[in-house]
Amino acid sequence: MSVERDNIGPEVERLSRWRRRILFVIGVGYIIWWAGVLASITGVADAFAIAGVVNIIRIVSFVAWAVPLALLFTVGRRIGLRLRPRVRAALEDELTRANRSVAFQTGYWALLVTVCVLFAISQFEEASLKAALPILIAVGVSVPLLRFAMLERNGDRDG
Amino acid sequence: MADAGLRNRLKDVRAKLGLTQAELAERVSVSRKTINTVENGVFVPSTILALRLAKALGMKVEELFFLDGK
Repeated sequence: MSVERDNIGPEVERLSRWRRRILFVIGVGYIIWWAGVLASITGVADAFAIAGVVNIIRIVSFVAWAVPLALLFTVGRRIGLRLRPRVRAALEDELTRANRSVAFQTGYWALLVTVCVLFAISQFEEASLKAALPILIAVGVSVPLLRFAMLERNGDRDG
Repeated sequence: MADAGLRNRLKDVRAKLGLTQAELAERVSVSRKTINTVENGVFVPSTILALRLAKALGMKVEELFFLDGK
């Protein structure tokens, strides 16, 4: 095998850390943003006279998830295309694929549990689809992102 | 991901050869994290990766990986 043996380790570490952190920020920002949306559409924000604070939280959390996501699709994509094949392979190795698979499974179960909880609540309270959807979207998107970031961080820990 | 029945001597062999996790990771084109989780028994590698690790360390795969109690 005549592969050049240049040091790809630091680059893989840096990009992996960057990916993990950006996904964590998107996950947290997204769930907070939807919580703000929920507080507004259900009237909770107005009832507690915190509409102003909720609006600020919504704007900040929107920026917190939208900007990293935009960067991921523009700058991140461009960086990804320029990566050397060995770096790309290491960033997308079998541990990463396994972590992603576990993250999606966790998201699926979290979504299923949330649906069951909402169904149970709807038996006692009048639940609107408008209020339920933000919760389901937030759980379905944020749980896999946060779980993936957590698994990637755990991989760095020494046993 | 982890299989309680599978053990390995990766850490010992790697240390004996004076390799760091990062150096071994480079040899088999994975991240250092993957080597770390395999060594800790958190992640069970695929057959291909197990064979590549054994080859990189100059061993037979069954010398590197073994079942619990063997």
